[in-house]
Amino acid sequence: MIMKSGGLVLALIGLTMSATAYYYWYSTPAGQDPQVISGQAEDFADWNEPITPIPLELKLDKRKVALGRRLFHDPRLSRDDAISCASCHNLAKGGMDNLPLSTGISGKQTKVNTLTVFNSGFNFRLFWDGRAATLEEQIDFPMNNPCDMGSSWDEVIGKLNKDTEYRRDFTAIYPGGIQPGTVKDAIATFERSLITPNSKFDRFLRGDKQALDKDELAGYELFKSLGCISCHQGMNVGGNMYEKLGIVGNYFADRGNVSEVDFGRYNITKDDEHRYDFRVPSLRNVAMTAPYFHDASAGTLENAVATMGKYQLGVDLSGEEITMIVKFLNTLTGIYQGETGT
Amino acid sequence: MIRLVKSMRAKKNFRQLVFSAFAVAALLFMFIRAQPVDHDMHNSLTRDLRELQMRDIELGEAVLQHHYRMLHNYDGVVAIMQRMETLSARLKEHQQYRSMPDTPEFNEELKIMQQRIVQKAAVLEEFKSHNAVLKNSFLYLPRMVSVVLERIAFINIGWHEAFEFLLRDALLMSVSKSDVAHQNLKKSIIAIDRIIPGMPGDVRSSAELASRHAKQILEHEKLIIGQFAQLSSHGKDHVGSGLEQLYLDYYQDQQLAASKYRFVLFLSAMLMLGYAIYAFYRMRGEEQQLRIAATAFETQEGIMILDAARRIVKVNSAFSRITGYSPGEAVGRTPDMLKSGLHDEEFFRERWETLARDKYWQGEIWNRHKGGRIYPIWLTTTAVSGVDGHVSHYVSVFSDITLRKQAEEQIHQLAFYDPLTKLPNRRLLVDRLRHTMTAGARKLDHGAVLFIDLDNFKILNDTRGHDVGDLLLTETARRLQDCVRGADTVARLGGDEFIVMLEGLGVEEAQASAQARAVGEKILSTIRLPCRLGDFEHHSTCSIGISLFHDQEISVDELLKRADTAMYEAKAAGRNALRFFDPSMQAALENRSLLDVDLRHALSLKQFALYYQIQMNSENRPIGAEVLLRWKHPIRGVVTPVEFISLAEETGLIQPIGMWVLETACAQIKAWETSPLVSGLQLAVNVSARQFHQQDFVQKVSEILTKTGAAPNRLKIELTESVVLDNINDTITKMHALKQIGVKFSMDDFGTGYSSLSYLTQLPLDQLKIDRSFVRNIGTKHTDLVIVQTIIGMGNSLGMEVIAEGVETEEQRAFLHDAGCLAYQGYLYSKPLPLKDFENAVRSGSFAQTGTVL
Repeated sequence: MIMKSGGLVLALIGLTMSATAYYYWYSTPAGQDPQVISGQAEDFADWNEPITPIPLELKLDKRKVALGRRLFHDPRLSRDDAISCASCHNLAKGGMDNLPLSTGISGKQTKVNTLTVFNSGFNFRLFWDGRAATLEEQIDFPMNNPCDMGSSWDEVIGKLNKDTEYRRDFTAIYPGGIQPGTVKDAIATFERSLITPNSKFDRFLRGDKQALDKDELAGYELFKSLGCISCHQGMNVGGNMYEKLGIVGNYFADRGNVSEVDFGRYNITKDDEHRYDFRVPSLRNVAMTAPYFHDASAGTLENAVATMGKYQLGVDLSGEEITMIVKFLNTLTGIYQGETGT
Repeated sequence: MIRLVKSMRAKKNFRQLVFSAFAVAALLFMFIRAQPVDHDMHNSLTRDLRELQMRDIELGEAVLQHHYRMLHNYDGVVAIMQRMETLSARLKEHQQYRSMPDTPEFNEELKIMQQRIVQKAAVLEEFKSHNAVLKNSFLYLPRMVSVVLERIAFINIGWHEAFEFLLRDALLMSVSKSDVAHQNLKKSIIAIDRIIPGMPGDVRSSAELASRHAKQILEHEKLIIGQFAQLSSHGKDHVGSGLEQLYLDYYQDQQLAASKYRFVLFLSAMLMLGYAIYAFYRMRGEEQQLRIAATAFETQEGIMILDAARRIVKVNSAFSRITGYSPGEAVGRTPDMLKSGLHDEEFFRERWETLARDKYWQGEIWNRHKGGRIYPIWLTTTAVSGVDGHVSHYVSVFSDITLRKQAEEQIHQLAFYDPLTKLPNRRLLVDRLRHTMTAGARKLDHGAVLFIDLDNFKILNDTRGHDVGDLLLTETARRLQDCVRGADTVARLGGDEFIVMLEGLGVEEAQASAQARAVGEKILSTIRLPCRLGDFEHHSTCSIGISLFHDQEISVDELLKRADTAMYEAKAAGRNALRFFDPSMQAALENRSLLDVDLRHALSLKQFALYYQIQMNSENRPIGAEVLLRWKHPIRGVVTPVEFISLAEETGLIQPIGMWVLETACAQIKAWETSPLVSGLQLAVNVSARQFHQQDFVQKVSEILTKTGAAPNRLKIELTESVVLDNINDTITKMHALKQIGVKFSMDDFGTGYSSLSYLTQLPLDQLKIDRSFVRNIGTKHTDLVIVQTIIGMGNSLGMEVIAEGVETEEQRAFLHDAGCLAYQGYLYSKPLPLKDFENAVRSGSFAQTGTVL
């Protein structure tokens, strides 16, 4: 009788231990690789080339992209249900609104020029002052900005929850349902899908030597020899470093009306060294994203090029030089394969 | 009480439970600790740590390559930095998943790692910005300088030189980065700045630009060294190396600890296995025990197990068989249900008291079967104590002893009762007699024993057979019982002898006697009634001997003997009669017992004397004398052997007496040796057969002869024929032995015994003595006359002397003489005389005259 109960106890011990073991050790962390955010540098064997082509295709969850697209175009993300992401980042117009400053809810204006959403996934930081490290982080700022969408996550989640389609779609993709994290993930996934490969220059880089004509090629050579390429390099032709606006000349002194937004990175780091430092913008599709600079001071590409040459390089570019460079810059316009609408 | 017991048991169970839980917890703990660090987790962690350090190296290298214009694309360092940040976050996560412990050391290392990465990221940004600027400055400075040099080619040598120096120092700076180079460049720039205001306007902007670029170079090259130091970890600890080291140490410790726990666990497992094997075998043994117990349980004996509250817990099949109750009917109830009601409460109280005291009780109990029948059982109950010392169970084992009891009854019957008549047997009777006599003694109450013997029973048995005889006996038994009261006992002694014991006949002897007689008469008449035995009628009578008793003066045997004696009297009187034990018989018996006492002392008191009766020959001369024993009792007077010899023989006194006689006779022979008148006389001494057959008789005689010094041929031993009957061989041997010494032998009472002549002729006799009965009948009975003649003739033929005894008349003597008998003994000559008288008579020759002296 002792033995029977003893045996039972032993069996129970064994079972308990096995169960605990299974629960304890074999629930490893997901070991997921976090999303590679920018550059996908490992994909490129050659970092020696100053500019590298955009990948032709990205492997993204189609459902998330579709959901993100809907959200991107959904004005319910703003307080007055008037502004969606697409309001300022118009996909048909090149990913931004071609306005010096954008208008948020209730007619309020943003403080700086809106950057393009295209290829934004390849930038190492987002915003002129680089305050967002990822696309997901970036979404918080316009959402909560009273000049932008003036909303909050509680508000947005509440509105989204009322939509049965959203609820259904979210639950299908995300176990957590409609959460700030999942909404951001959907939108960011969609934004990452907004790539414009196969620009003329990319084709040139991929080996098609005929893709550029003489002037365009000359423009690229100038771009390099003048030293523009020192900052505007990488896959996104920029977007991977900070630099001072006004290295050789004092841009802000000459322009005047210096305001807080002009301090750039200083606003984030509060380091005097970083005053007037801005994240170098990407020049891809630059031909489509006028006006230029954070203050939209250059209305044309020629103006922008001339300004850059004067204050960054200390060079007074000739008209011919500018033309050739502009021609080159035009070759950076790629093709968006997806839909521009909802 | 029960609750207390239950709580104690519960406490024990609780303790067991606690112990088991503790054991389980301990094993679980060891099992968890015995696990080595998860392989995948370890690999992933070490991979990340390795990669982090690798990326750190890559970063340093890339930065350098950037500075030396080997790399132009910052995507690479951006990616490296981002990867490092990712790895850092992942490593922090590892702590969450327990592959790294949450200790201060680890947290410190993680913090260090994170801080370094953050720092490096910041420095990288600096580097990128400054490197870009430097790149362009180094691009433009030579251009500007060459433009300036071109313009001022021949204007001012000093200026020319200054700008050349400027360029040189800037280039040197790019290569060397030393303080010296820095100072030189600084000097060069100062020199240029002094010159520029004096330069022509068209060249001034270029010169200013050159100065500006040179200043950029100056500033940024200085900074770049610091940035290198921070970004490259060449020769120093890479980011995460400290963490890696810490982790590897930790990992090793974990592995070691795990292996230790594994070992402990292994030992535990072995112990458990050992215990399991041991327990398995023990269980088998226990199973065996259980099987044996179960088998033992189902024995032929009933087994009943009670709990501490005396309720039946378990019974075996034998229980049901014996008591009639199935287990279902018995379990839960107490043994009270089996009570027959024959035992009182005292009995059961005593039983439970004994059980409580001795833990054991055995005894006979009468129970009631389910069907109502009462039956006896032999029950053994044992109290079983639990481990706590208190009684936990009672085990009762019992067997139905009905058969045994019946057997006992039967034995009792057989032991005390006659199987045929069912009457008490002798044993029981004796017991009762003893009992009655003891009881009677207190009350002086009289009782009587009637010894009843069926007359001629043997004839009936022989003629009609034993079956018929048995029928008579049973009928007799029945009739006897009818004759007596309930308190009286009728017993069968055996054969055709019955005893009736009467008690309570009163204190008066006469009254008791009358009552006994009345009963006796009744018995006689009852027995006399015709009896149907099978096919015929039988008339039977009996002889009754009655003996009264009223105290313990005599033994039971004596009483029975008296009754027996009286019965024989009745038989002698002609049967079909009753006789009381005669007082004179009683008296005679008493007398006899008195005599016995006296006789024992007679020898020591020298009350014996030898008388002598003369033996004469045909010439009227004495030839010898027969020695006869006389007892001179102080009160009784002279007692003749007839009165005491049989008693002496019975009591064995004959031996010493006989020897005394021989000794005295021999002494007398010796004494007469010197006297010529008597020296020739042969003394004839009677020796009984019993005496003669004593083993040492020859030796004794020889000793006496030697001791007294008597001449053996003067001694003549007279034997009777019975001596031969006892043992002829012994007789012959002894006679020869004594004859060798010289002793003579005479056959006394010749002709009266049953011995055959062939026997007699084997004996070495010297003399035959014709019995007096024949002598007496000489002249009257012809046949006796013939016998006498025959004896004389035989004796003479065989060479033996012949002497006649009991010669009383001359006529007889004359006849004997004529027949050839030449020796005579009898009253004709003399009666036995005491020694003195005998001697006088011999001396005076008075024997010679015919006629008696006395």
